[in-house]
Order: sequence, then structure tokens, then C-alpha cells
Amino acid sequence: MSIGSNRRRLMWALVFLLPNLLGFLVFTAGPVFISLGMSLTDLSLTEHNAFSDSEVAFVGLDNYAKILSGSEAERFWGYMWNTLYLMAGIPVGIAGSLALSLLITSKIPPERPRHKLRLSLLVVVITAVSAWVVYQVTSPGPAPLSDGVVMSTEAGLSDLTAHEVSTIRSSAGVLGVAGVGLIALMGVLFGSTFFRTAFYLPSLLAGVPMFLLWKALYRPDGGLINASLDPVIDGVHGVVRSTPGVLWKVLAGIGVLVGAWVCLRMVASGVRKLRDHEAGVASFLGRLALVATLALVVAGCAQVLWSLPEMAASASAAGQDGFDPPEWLVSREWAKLAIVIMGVWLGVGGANMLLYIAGISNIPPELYEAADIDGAGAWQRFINITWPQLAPTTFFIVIMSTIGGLQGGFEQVLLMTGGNYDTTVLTYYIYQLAFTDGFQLGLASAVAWVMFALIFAMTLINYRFGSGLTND
Amino acid sequence: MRALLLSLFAVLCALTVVAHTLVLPEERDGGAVTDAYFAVGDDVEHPEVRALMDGFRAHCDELGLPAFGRFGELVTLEDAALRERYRAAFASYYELQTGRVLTDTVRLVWSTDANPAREVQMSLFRAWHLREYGQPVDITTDPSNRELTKSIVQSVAGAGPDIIEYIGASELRDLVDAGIALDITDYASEHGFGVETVFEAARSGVARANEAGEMRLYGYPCNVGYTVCLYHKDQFAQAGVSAPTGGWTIDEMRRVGEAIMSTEGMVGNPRFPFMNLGAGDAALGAGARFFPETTGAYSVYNSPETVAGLRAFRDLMYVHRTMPRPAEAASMSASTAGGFGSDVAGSAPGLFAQRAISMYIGGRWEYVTFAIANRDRVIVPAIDRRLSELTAADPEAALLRTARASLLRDVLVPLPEAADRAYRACLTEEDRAGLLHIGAVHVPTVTGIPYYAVTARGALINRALERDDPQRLTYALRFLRYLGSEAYNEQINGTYDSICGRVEYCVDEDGVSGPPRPLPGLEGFDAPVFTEAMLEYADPWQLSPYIGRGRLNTLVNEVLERVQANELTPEHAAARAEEAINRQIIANVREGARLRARWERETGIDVDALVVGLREGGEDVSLRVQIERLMRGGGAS
Repeated sequence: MSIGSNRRRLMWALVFLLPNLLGFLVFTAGPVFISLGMSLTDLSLTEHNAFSDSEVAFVGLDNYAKILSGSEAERFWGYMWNTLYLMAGIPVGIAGSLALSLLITSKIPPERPRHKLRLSLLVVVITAVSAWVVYQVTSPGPAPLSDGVVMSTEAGLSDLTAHEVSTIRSSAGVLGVAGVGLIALMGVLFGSTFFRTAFYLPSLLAGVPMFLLWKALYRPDGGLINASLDPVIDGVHGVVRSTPGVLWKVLAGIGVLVGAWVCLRMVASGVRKLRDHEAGVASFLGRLALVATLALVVAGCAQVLWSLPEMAASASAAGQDGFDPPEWLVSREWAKLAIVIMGVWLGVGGANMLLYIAGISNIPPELYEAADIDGAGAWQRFINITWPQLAPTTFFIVIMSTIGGLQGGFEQVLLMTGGNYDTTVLTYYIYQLAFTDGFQLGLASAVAWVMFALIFAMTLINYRFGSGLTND
Repeated sequence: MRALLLSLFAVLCALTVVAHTLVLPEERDGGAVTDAYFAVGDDVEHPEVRALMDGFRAHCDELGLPAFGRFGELVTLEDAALRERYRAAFASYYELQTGRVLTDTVRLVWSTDANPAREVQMSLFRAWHLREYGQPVDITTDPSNRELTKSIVQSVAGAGPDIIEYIGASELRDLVDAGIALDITDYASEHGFGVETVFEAARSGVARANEAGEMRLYGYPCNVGYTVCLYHKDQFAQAGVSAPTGGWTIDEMRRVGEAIMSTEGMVGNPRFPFMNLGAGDAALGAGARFFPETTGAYSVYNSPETVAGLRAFRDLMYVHRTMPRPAEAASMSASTAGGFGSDVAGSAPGLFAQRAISMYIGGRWEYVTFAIANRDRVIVPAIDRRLSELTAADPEAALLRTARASLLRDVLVPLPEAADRAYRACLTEEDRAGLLHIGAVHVPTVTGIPYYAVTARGALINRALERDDPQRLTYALRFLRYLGSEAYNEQINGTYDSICGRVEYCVDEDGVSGPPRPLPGLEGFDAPVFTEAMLEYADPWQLSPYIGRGRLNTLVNEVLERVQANELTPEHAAARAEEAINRQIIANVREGARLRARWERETGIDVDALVVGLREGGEDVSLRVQIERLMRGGGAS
């Protein structure tokens, strides 16, 4: 190919790239650098604009000082904590994505038509029996002759009797069981294609509709989540009240001992592998993180078990039949956790799952064949082949999720709590500073750049340790 | 490949041209302006318009259009094709006579909400303008840009609306500070709608003092907003309790609530007797103040009055169970919510309309909710029942059909007297018992003295018009004058859009001036309590130049939501809120040289003498204590 031809090709390539490049410069790179400049000024939309003659002043790093250690520091760090709290669901979401992708890529439904038919029939029978049991347990029976009208949260503003409300709840239970049965049946009939579609569906809908749906699910009294939890926690209350309190204390103690033993074993095993050069430092640190998480979970469960007798006594003393269900989006104790749980649900079946599916399908089958010949079990195959082979994918997912987590939370907070109940996150804070609280564009830009620095730093840390992990 | 890409590029260009020429241009047929001419055609006095309308009648004869009685009939002609023929005939006649095209009429843009009442208000403006000035003007709303942030961002970028709607003194302050609001003081005084014509409590929502302390008018009220206590008359009657005639205490309200809840078989089976009182309002009602009377330099929120109000509020939820807790309120809400005062409050009218709540704090604008409930549950079924008994040719049936159609189209539009009488006659005693009978009383407070924090929903003029388009500015100024006119203010009161802002058009001998015949059961919405609230007990929003309303709300709400959740005692809440406000004020003052100079001039002390988090003798010394100590000249902190 001649030089002239190459030049022409280059020119045409540039011509076709130009619109995108211009768009990037004008609408992305330009504003980014302008915002950096803004963060060094006292720019306020109400004070510095076409109608005003006051000059924008260069304030150096004052905005940054104000955020990090000045008058906005308490607010900034508080919102930073909230942001990090909402990111607590990321590891769970990633683990869930991995689990789902493993399930989907394994051969769940039988391939022979006869077996498929048998399994389908089994699913139908189990579903029918379960639905019948749910109906028998929850159905309110025939309507009483005199039944006062109550407010029904399920039915909006219509006047329903208590019997009708119970019937609606019972029907919802039966429908729920039928729905689960239908999903299982579809899985048997259509295999992983159905599950891939079903699990990815929330990602197609994610955003405002999902947040509003979850807001409805989280209604403290009458929302589907608490309606389902109510009988369970009331049952626990009944069991706790009818058993000696000391039993729960003993259970808590046993839980702590078992948890401590497991954690110590894991740490000891990690130390041994590190010493014998069977694993690297990154792997050891990952193990420590897992141990710390496990210890926290065990401690939390033990504390709940320990406190159960007092909680039950207190609820009974207050004349309640059971424990109060969580006040999800309308209390400081639960609001953040509610958003985390929703985030996990949305994250499990999303793009991360697809990335893991792609990663799993790229693992050479010879590795599994070799493992089979060596007599490796399923767990050993996972630990020694799947997990290391997926390390680059996991590394990518962790980086992207961390960046997404630090940048995220805005819509959830805006739509679900309005920033109330200590749920304001950094992105919402930027919005408040820039558009609802004095139009302080300079200060808001500074917060954005501090966020950028944090994201950049976390990405570097991830890169440093993540790279090591991929080489393990 | 290259040809394919170039073809794609060409298609994109073609689509852009199509979008630009066919989709983007607004559809303007001048119909609204023509209707304005028809609306005034029968009684307009302006000589040019009179001559035009008389000439048009003759022109119609020449064109062979069917003869008509009054011009007003043309606006509501049922035959849409014929109506369009009259409109087209008028447009061509107008062009012939004036040399101008109707579709070129100046069209003002008003950033307001998508309330259907705005259509009526705009029609009134077009007609009013013709009567007053003999010139046509058009107007349209821009509901998607109603929000303050958008108004400011677009206006400073030179793309703002002509007339900007805003809520309250804090938004007015932002718009004035941004230099967007046009000072209309002189024009308004000259044309008889100066600040003195507005309810005193609402004046801070339309005017601001300048550096010299002189009040300057920037906006005019579209209406003024506040809430009273609405209650179900039938539930009160069944419980054997009477509604208070003046102010009443929260304890008195609670006892009434207990009587209602303990009455066997209470209609509607209410779940709670009371709803929708906010923590902040309870404190203000008890006499709490954010700032001293004479200065906004520091907060005095930590007071016995605040504590009493917050305690009463908390006890209503957690001790007496008179009012639902936040979680209960959220559950009862059909829409669910983030917290009190947000969309929980939005669902309250629905719950109240069900009688699930006996008393709740709501505004006069909620008339429409209850009117629709009564219409759908009782009135229309009663009309249908009566219609089924009549023959189609029966004159009563025609009246009932008119009433039914009008009520279903817009429940707020007053009916012709005969149709009104006809449908009321359909209602049996049983029907009337099924109607919502709603009364209005004062909001209960700790002291028994009513308190109302009032502000205006106002409109102001984008100052860019002064520079860019003096002709539009003239029309925009006239629009503000229209907001002060009798026609507009009567429309506001008559359609229960809260109450109007101009005192002289608001009050009559029975209370709020309204339509002559409110719907059955809802006569209470013209109760004297609405005017008493404005004239005797209303206060403007408390603002400080040293802290924005948005940040003030954030700081206070962060504390009050913990009182709502019963996580913080009223004493701690009041102290924390006050200290948080004062810390923010001090931080703001220290950061801005101009603000600092003003603050130090006002207080007479050096702001650097204050120590955040000061402790003396093992005790915290609040900023307020330090400020007051220094102001009294008693020792340095």
C-alpha cells in the first residue's frame, strides 16, 4: 500500500472520528477541566452571572480546605460515610453474580426429554402442594357477618374489610408460590437461556421504576417485605417467649465459640500458605478480609441471639403480639440498609453476571479435564481453576463497582428518602450545594474533585493489589 | 463502505432538517387570541376592539356564516367545524383591518405548574388585556421549567421565561440576589397594585428591603398559601363534640380526637383522629422563633416554646396515639414516602376523604379533592338515578345532563343556576348523609393562639426583558398588573386555589369571597377561619440574610426527624438545631467579607471572638450564649 493511500485512509479515519472527538472535547473533557477551575473560585450562580457585576474571586484551595477540615467537613465526612455504607453491598453483589453465573453455566436441566418431563411434573406437583399449604395456612376462612371497614394499604384508597385485606394477602402468598414454581418450570424447560434472561431483567428496568417499586415493597406496614416478615418475626417472638432466656444466651455463646474457631482456622491456614509460598500476600489479605466479614456476621448474630429474650419481654410488656417489623425507609436505623439490600438485588443479576458468564466460558475445558483426572472435587475445581482463571474478570468488576459505588446513590436517595434519615450521599450533596443550597458551584466542584481523587486512589489501590491477585 | 457512511451522514442531516422545520416549531393557530376577542366581543368598551367586533359581525353576514346572538357563544360552540370557520373568518378579517397577523401576536411565557386552572387564568388574561388596552396578547405556560434551579440557570444563560413563578420569600431572595428579578415598585405604585395592596403577612414573599432599608416590589402573589385544620362534621356530630369557634389547644384537640375514636360504630372507622401536623409547625405554633425579632444574626431556636411545641408533637404520636408515627403515616400513604411533610402529606387528603382521619392540616386548595370525591361517590350516581326516571325530552333531564357534563368536565366551574338547582334536588337524605361534610377550624397549638406561617406563590419578571425586548417587557408588566386585578383575584378565590393575595378582593362579610354556590357538604371552605388566619394570626416565614432557607431547612430537619422517630428529646433537639444554625451562620459570616461586615455592624461584635465548641467549667457554651454575652458587653469568650 502506498504512503498516499495510507494518508488518505488516515484522513478519512480522522474525518469519521472527528464528530465523536469534538463531542468528547466539548461535552466531556471541556466541562471536566472547567469544573477544576471552578473549584478554585468562589463561583456562585446567584452572585456571578450576566445580571451581576461582581467578579468571581480566585480562592485557591479554600474550597478544599472548607470541605476537608473547615465548616463543611462534618457534613462532607458524614456523607462520605453514608456513601461507603451504601457500597457495603458491593462484595455481596459480586459474590451473588458469581454464584448465579456458575449456576447458569452449569447444566441444570436434564437434556433427555424423558427426564425433562419427569422433572417438570415434579416441579408442578411441588408447586401445587406448596400453594395449597400456603392457602390453608393464610386463608382467613369465610367472612364474618359483621366486619368493620379498615384502611387497606394494599388497595390504596378503597374501603375494604379486614377479611378482604386478609384474603388479598393470602392470594398474594399463593400467587408468589405459583410464580416461583413457574420460574422453576421455565428453567427446567428452557434451561440457562431462561435464567439468563430472567436474572438480567432487573438491569433492563433498573432506575426510577425499580426504585419506586422497592419503595412500595418497603412500606413499613402493609408493604410486601414486612407483610412477609411479620409472621416470621412474630413466630420467633412466640418461640423466644416460650423458651427459657438462658437458652438463647447459651446459643449466642456457642455461636461465638464456633465462629472464633472457624476464623482462627482460616487465618492459620492462610499463614501456612503464605509461609509455604502456596499463596501471595494479596491472597492472604483477601482471606483476612473474608475472616473479618465472617467475624462481624457472627458477632452480629450472637448479639441478636443474646438480646432476644429482653427484646421479646420488652415487646410483650408494650402489649405487642410480636416484634415490630423494620421501619425500612422511614428510620435512621434501617434506611441505609434498605438501600443496600435493594442495591444487592439490582447488582446480582446485572452486567457483572454477564461478565462472569463470559469469563467462565473462556476457561479452557482441558483444565477441568485435568482436574477430573487428578480426582478433584467440585470445590477444589472452583478454588484451583475457576476462581484464579476469573481473577482478571473479578479485578475489572471490583474496580468498576467501586467507581460506580462512589459515584452512585443519587437517584436512590432522591427518590426513596429525599436525603432524610441520614441517607445523603456525596453525589446528592454535590447536587444540594450546586442547585438547592445557595448555588455554590465552586464548592460543589471542589467536592466533585475530591470524589475524583478518592475514586482515583481507590482504583490505584485496587490495581496494585488486584494485579497481584491475578498473578497468584 | 465510504459511500455507506456518507449516505448515513446525509440521512442524519436530512432528519435534522426535517426535525427543525416540522417538529420543533410550535403550533400556533391564534385560536386562543381569537377566543379572547369573542369572549369580550359582547361588552367590550375599548373603541378599536368594539369597532373590530361590530365589523366582524357584518363580515360574517357577508361570508354567509350562520347568524349568532352573542360573541361569547362562539367560544363554546359544540359544532367544532363551525367554530373553526368563525375563527378562520375572524383571523382573515383581523388581518384585513389591522394589517397584522393574529399568529404574530406577542406570546408571553409563564413558568408555572400544569394546573388546569392556569388555562382559565390565561384566557382571563387575554380577555382582560383586550378590555384594558385594546390590544391582543397571548400567553403560554412552561410547566417543565417551573422549578427554581431551572429558572435561575436558564435565566442567567439568557433562555429563561418571561414571567417566573416562585414560592415564598426564600426563592424570591435567590432570584433577586441572582439579579434575575425586575424591580417593579414604581410601575406597581403607578398602576395601583403596590406592596400595600398585598396581605401584610405575605409581603415578604413579593418584596425585599434594599441596602437603604426601602421595600422594593419584585413580584405579585398568584395566591397565598397556608394550612388550617379541616375536619369531618359528621364524625364530630356522631361523637357529640362541637368544633371550636376560635383558637384551641392541642390538648383540646386531643380530647376531641379521643371522643371520636371511642365512639362505637363511628362513620368511616377512622384509624387516627389527627394527621399532618409537622414538628416544625408545632414548635412555631407554640411560639418558637428561629431568630430574634430584630435580627437574623443568630438563632434563638432553643427556647421553652420550641421545647413545648416539639414535646406536644412527639406526645401526639408516641404517648396519646392521636397522630400516626412516620412509619404508620408512610404505610397509610398510597404513594409511600421518605418522611413527614413530603409525599406523606400528599396522600393525606385521600386518607381524609376516606374518613380514615378525622382532622387534618390542609389548605383551601384541597377543596377540589373532596369535591371530586363527593361528585363521584354521590352526586353523579344521584343524577344518573334521576335521569333513569325521566324521559329524554323532559326539561329537567336536559338541566341534569348539563350539570352532569359540567361537573365531570371540571368540578370547579360554577353551574348555571337552573342546572345547579336541578342536581341538588336529586340528592335524597341518604345521599346527603353519604357526602363529605367538611368544616375548617384553626390549627391547634400548645398555647391555643393560632399561628400561621404564610407565604406567597408569586410571579416576577425576568430582568433580561429590560435589555432584550422592551415590547415583551411592557406586556409582562401588564401581566403582573393583571395578577392584582379583580378578575384574577376573584377567579383564585372562586376556584379554591388557596386564597388570593390582594386583601380588598379576598374578604367579604362571610369570610373568604368565593363562588355563590359551593358544592353540597363543602360550604366550610368559605369559612371565616381562612380570613381570620390571614388577618389576625399570620406571620411571614422567618429568614436570615446570613443563612439560606435551604440550608436552614436541612439543618433543622435533620434534628426534627429524630424527634419524629422519638430518638431525641425535645430539649436536645432544640439545643442541637440552634447550635447547628449558629455554626452555619458563623461559618458563612467568616467566609464572606461583605456578609462579615454586615454581621459585625449588626451585632457590634467581632465574629472571630466566637469559639465553636467552647467549654467552660466542664460545660458546653453555645454560640448563642457567647453572642448574647458579647452583645451585652459581658466579657470575652
